[in-house]
Amino acid sequence: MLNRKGQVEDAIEVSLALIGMVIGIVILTILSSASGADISKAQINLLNTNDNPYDANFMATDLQNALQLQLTNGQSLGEMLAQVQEAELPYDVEADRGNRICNEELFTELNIYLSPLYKTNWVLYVYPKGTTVVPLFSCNFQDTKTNLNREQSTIIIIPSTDPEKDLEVHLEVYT
Amino acid sequence: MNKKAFVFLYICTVGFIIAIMLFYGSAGKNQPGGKTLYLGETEIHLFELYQQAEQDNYYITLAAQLSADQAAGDFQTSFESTFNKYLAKKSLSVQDFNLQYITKGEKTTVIGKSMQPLHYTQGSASYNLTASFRVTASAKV
Repeated sequence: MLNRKGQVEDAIEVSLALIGMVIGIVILTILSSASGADISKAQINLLNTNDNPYDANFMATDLQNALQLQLTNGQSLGEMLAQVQEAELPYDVEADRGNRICNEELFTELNIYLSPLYKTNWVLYVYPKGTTVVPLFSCNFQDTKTNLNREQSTIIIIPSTDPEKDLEVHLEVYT
Repeated sequence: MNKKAFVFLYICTVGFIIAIMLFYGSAGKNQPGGKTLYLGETEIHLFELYQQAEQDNYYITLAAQLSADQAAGDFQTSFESTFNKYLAKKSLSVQDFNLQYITKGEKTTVIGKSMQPLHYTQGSASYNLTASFRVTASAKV
């Protein structure tokens, strides 16, 4: 049994230890909050960034490689799409349909390349640069867009036969 | 404990707390490498630069092919005139390219290589590309 002086010293030591623990907990909590806030800031920055995710960059590479595919007519897909012209007025929708939508042969050629990556859920559009109202050309599996949601898309600018007008080639993937 | 021992304990406690605060407070500032980036940020920029450079190179190659296909009369003059219009959109001109013309029969092949590499930068990432192409047109010189 400690004497009275010893008991008082024990009480002081226990009090100091408790105060030390409280201070330690407060400091660690502040550090933890600061770290959490930093991670949260990083997440917000990444979510709001204009940087494309990796997938979108690789998708642009896929599209570029697709544009370099040699078609059975000896042209590359890019060369073929570069020759797509804006419709001249008066515009005959039915007569022009064949020039604006890819035929089965072209779809099959592209699908052989793109289906391992995107199944048949891909759509290819060509627009005049700066507008996305009416596509000059489109190629897709029938009814791709009706039941599915757009997951990812990428755009490549290509020249047209008119040096003054560029074209946008869009590759959109639906899931 | 005696009074002297308490003083030592106080000094140690306060010193420990100050040391922790100083360490964590200045740890970020003292790390080498300048401004701190998020993990993978430079890699994303590098991917984007690579992609942009490859797209520009593809644009130039396709423009050269279209220019060669459209060339009529004096092939070289016609090709360079049309090609220059395309290159203007990339702030380039035919003077920036070393062009070589090879004619075999009715086919003319144009081989081009930019004399200065195209330079791309974004953030701390940079990428250089020497644009080059080889296109063949069925046109008489």
